Order: sequence, then C-alpha cells, then structure tokens
Amino acid sequence: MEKTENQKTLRPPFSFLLRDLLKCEDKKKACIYTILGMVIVLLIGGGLLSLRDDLDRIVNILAPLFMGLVTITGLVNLAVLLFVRSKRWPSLLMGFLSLLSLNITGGIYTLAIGKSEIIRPAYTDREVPMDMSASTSLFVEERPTYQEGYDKENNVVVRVVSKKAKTKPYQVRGIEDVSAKNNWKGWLYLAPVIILVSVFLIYPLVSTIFISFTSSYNYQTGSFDGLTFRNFTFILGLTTKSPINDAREVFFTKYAIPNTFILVIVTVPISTMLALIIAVALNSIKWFQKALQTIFFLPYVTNGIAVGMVFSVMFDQSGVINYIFGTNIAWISATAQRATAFIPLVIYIVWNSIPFKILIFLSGLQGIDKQYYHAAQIDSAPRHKVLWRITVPLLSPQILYILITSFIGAFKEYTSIVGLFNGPGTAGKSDPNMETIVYYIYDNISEPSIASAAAVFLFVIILAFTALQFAASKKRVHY
Amino acid sequence: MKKYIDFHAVKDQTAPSNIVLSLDESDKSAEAIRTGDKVSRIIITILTYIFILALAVVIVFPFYWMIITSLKQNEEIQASTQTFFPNIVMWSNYVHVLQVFKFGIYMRNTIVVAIISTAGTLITTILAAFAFGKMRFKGKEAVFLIFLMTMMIPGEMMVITNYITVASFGWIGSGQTIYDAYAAMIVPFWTSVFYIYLLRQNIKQIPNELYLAAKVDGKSDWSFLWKVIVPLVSPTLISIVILKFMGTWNSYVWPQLVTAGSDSNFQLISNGLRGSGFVDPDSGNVEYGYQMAATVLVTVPLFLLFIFFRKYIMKGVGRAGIKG
Repeated sequence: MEKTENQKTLRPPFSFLLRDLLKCEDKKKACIYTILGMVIVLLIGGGLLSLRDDLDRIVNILAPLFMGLVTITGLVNLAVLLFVRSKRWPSLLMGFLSLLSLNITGGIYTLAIGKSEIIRPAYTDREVPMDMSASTSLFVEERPTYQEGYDKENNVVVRVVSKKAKTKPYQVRGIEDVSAKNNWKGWLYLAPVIILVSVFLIYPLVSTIFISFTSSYNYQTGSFDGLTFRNFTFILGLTTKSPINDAREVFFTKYAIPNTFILVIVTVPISTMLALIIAVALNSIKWFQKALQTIFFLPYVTNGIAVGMVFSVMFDQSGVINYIFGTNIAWISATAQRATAFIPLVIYIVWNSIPFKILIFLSGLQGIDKQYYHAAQIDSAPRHKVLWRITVPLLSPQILYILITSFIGAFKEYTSIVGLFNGPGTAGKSDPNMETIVYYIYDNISEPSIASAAAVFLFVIILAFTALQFAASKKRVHY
Repeated sequence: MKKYIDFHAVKDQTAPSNIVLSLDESDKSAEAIRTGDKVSRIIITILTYIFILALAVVIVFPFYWMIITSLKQNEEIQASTQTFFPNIVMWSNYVHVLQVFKFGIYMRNTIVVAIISTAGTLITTILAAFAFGKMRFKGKEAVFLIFLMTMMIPGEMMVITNYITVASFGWIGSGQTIYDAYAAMIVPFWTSVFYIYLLRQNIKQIPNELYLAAKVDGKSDWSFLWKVIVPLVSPTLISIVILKFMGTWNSYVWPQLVTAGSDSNFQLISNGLRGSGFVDPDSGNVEYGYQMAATVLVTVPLFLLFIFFRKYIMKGVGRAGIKG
C-alpha cells in the first residue's frame, strides 16, 4: 500500500524552490532559466550603461526602479524560500518575477549550498565528524505516493480520498519539551550576535551596493548627489570624473583587474600542485614525518607584512637571490620591470599559501583507506598510476575545497603587496603597477562611491567564479 | 622467453602437460628479485627525502635569512658578496630597534585589542552557537541560513560601510583617543559567523540526553550552557581563541584604515612594522639590519605561540580552514 518510510533525499534546499517557482521539474531547465534571467538583467544593465553620457537623467530615474525591482523580487523569493517551504508554489508569475532576482539570490544560494558541502572535507578528522544530518534544513522530505487500485502485497483496495498533503508527517517524538517550542529565550541568546551581524555584516552589504550607485557619497555627512551608474563606468575607464585630479580611472582596468587575474591564474595552480606533491611525499615517509610537517606549516604562523619585508630584502638588487643565481636583476626596486616584479610576488604568495593546503591534503590522505593501496600493490600498479587513479580521485573533495578557498583568497591579495612593495607597486603611487582590485578599494576609501563600485565588482566576480567552479567540478568530485 | 596461453579456451579440453609459466624476471632468483625491490624502494625513499628536505630548506630559508640579516651590519647586507653568517654579530641592532621602534606600545595595543575582541567573540559565539545547536524556537533555521549566507560575502564589501559606521560613532577622525581607536578595532570583530558555525556543529554532537537530564534536574538553560556545554567544547574554544589571536596579530588593513591620520601610538604591530621605515637619515637607504630585527621581534611571539599550542593550532586550522 503506502510507502511507510518517507524517502529522504539529499537535495539542497534551494534547487526544489527554483524548480517549483519555474514550474519545471528538470534541473537543467531551471539552470537555463537562471542564465536567461542573468542575461536579461545584464542586457538591461548594459543598456543603461550605454546611455551613460547623454541620458544621465533617464539613468537616474531607472536606476532606483531597477534596483527596487531587483530588491523586491529578491525579498519575495526569500520569503517564499523561508516560509512556503514544503508547499508547491503554483504561480508562474512568481517564477517570472524571480527570474530577475535569480542572478543575485541564485548566486548566493548556490554558494550557500556549495559552502555547506564544501566545508565537509575539512572534517575528515576522525575525532570530530561533522554532523551534517543534524541541520534538518538541508533535507527535504518527499511526500509518499499513493496508487489507486488493489494492492497485492497488503491485500487491500486503495482509494485516494484526497491528494492534499498532510501538513505534517506523522512522527513519534517521544518526550516533547512543550515549553521550548516557542522559546523567546532563544532570541535572547541570539540577540548580541544578531545586533552585531546586522550592523557590521548585513547592513554594510546593502549599504555598499547602494553607495556604489550614488554619486560622490560623502562619508561624513552621508549626503550624495543622486543615483548614477557613473561609478561603474568610472572604474571601468569609460567616463572621467568632472574635476580631473588624477588618472585613477585608468588604473582599475590597466593594473587592478589584469594583476588580480594574473595572480589568480598563476598562483592557484602552482601552489595547489606543489602542496599536493609535498603532501603525498610527506605521507609516504616514515621518519621525521611530524617534524617535517611542522616545518611545512611554519609559513602559516607568520605575520604577512613581516615576511613580505623579508622577501623584499632577499629580492633586493644586492640581495641574496641575485647573489645565489649570479644575476643582477632589479626585482622590486623602483627600476624594476612589471613582469619581473611578479616573480617575487608569486613566489611569496605560493610560499605563504602552501602550508594550509598541505595540512588539508595531509588530513585527507590520512583518511584514505589503506586497502586501496594494498590492492594496487597486489596488482603491482606503477606509482604514478596509484597517484592518479587512487590518491587524486579519493582526495577530490579536499582538492575542490582548496581550489575554491584559494581562488577566493587569490582574488583578495593585498597584504602580500603591501609587505613586499611597501606601496601599490615598484614605482610608487603615481604608477601603481602591482595594484590589485582590493588594493584599489582600500586606496580609494576616501571616495566611498568609487570604492564601493570596485567592491561590488569584486563581489560579483567572486560569486560568479565560485558558482562556476562549483558547477564545473560537481561532476568531477568522486563519491 | 614468453608463452601466452588462453586458459578459457583450454578449460574444457585436457590441458597440455608441458606448460611452463614464465615471468619477465624468470632468470633471476626470488632472492635477487627481493633485493631488487628493496634497492628500488630505498632509492625512492632517498629521493623523496631529498625532495622534501630541499623544499623544507626553501620554506625555512626566509626565516633563516631574516634572523641572519637582523644580526648583520648594514655594510655587510649591502655588500656584493653575501655572507650566510654574519661576520660580526650585531646584537646592538636589537638594542637600537627597541629604542626606535615602539615595540612595547604596539605590543600593548595588539594584546589589548586581541584580548577584548577575543573575549567578546567567545561570548557571542558561545551564546549563539548554543541557541542554534540546542535550543528550539521558531525562526531558528531561517536565521541560521541567513547567517550562513553572509559567509559568502567577501570582507571587502563590508569595509567601506563599516568605516562609515565607525566614523559616525565618532571613533575615527580628528580628536581620536586611544579608547576610540580600540573600540573601532574591536567592536566590528566581536562576532564571527564562521566560529558560530564551527561551534554549533560541535555543540550539536553533544547528546540531547544530557540536556534533558539537566532539565529534569531543574537546571536552567543558562547554567547548563556554562556548566556542561562549555567544558565539553573547550578544545574548539581554545582553537578559536588562538586563531582569533593570530588574526589580530596579523591584521593590517582595518587597523591601518581606522588609525590613519592620527597618532601612530594607536597602531597595531603590523602597521607599526610597515610604517617604520628605518631609513638612514644621511644616505636615505633603508637600514635592513634594523628592519629585520624589528621583523624578528614581530615574528617571535607568534612562533612561541605556535610552539606551545602546535596541536590546537594545526587542528583548529584544519578544521576551520581560515586565517584569523
């Protein structure tokens, strides 16, 4: 007759929401709609941006409307998500409305799901297994299905009286703590955190997005001259500010974006590969394993600024690196080329970032069942095959976790540059040739509108990159 | 010589009696094969050790160079022939640095900020993690989800508005006192969603029976939290304390922003280190000996912390996966 056990499915909390909103059961279709929504928003945004010079008034009117629409649909989406969890939401209109907000909220959801799954690998530590099943919100109970007709197994005739879902599945709960059901004390315990989080985390998020659309925001008085898209066009070098005091609008596209991407693309693969090799080697040795492990962890417990200064001494023109290799290259001094200046920076970032990766990889390696290796030994599999066919696949959750965290970290490179160059580059403030996006943000903090626009830019890039990476590697991660 | 026989085809028929199974290494004795294996294993082990040790040298070298340079004379540092051990050990570099570099003041600031922000974080984190992990009330899951979402937002998004917020509290700008500076550096960091998440996972694993037993015994939530939960999760709490302390010690950007333009006596250790140039007034060159001595002074406390709490740090980092 009826399926007595409710099948619990491991679905992330939002995928069903998106699908229900869009009235489609197919995950792929939901993705396509999401992308469509993103394209629409981008087209509108791009169209508005193209009107930048002559039709600023229209932009001024449309920008708040546009932002308002996005905000409202986002809030509606959030409300649906939070309060209409188990019911099907029938309205197509809802789906259509949420298309607009999907690109923002969807990104955050994807990340939220991603994060909750990605963090798990760090818990391979046997002593503290992470209790994933404990967070009930991650599990969606499916309604049992009833089929009309004769049920042979139980010898009964089934007649469906109502297709309405029971509001709550029947449960035996044992002793119920009734007083705890609506416990206002819980909010009391949460109060300090809620106040702090809303003042220093949630409000700034909204406010920064808002400021990025204001024109010349004054942080002392909080006043601004209307809403505009000009901040974004300014940092992208499309418009200049009316009082041209310096050429800062060029720096973002000329230095900040390329530098950031170069650092991300170069340092992440190098440090991850190196860390993986070192971790495998460390795992295979018997003597001094703990001591060497500690040595490889040392760069983690250092002050980023201090070690950056040490590297700048080592890479001095009369420093030890030139002495060892018999060269006379200006690595970081004022006469240094931009391309050569990247070398010490990359070496420093890699040096600084491998300890954490080695630690995560090692804890992953120690969690791999030795049986796989015994089996490989019996088959006399060559070493490189063991590495690629056993170790790397079984380590893939850790690799994914490391890749995502290090990509995000590499996008936010700042301290290394301050430590190494004592400024935005080899040539000082007038030509900040090693500047990154984050450096640009901090450098322009006295002009909040522009700094906010750059911050929103970074936020969007990180969100997109992470979502992309997560989607791409979802299939690659074994088990 | 090799022979291949398809045993599937042979199975039903009478097998020929003259099959010889031969191996690649059939000309060697078992003893020879075993020694060969042994030799190759030893060679691989040696190669692995060489590789690891070489990399370990690369990892350690900057520390070595920092210490060595801090004990050299400036002429020796700038010389064309670099020495790997100072000709004259200049302990006086440290004496000079301790006079010029306001190590004590920076140290005091850093420790005050670290202690107060860590204490605040601990309190808010314990309360919130307990509420999320053990208590039951409406809207809990929703709030927790919102909290989780905030973890995806890069900190750079917050800095600008937090700067404005802190300025509106009057904690930065002209007339900034040391207490204002402390408040600006401490209060925004009194909570960390990640630590709440970490501790909540830990608290959730504590069996509910303990909670119910405490309830039957008439204990309030409050005393249950401090008498039972906190002692049980103390390893995680220690990890949080150490990570938070390291975070404060290494924090640069925010303290730099909120103390810029006012007294340099308000700065934390990283800012003090980067801010003090150690430039020779006559030649305009940076005196690397002094600079490296200051760097050693900044690095050593962290190393001491690491030596004493190695287990907690490595475990905490592995679990938390974040710096600061």
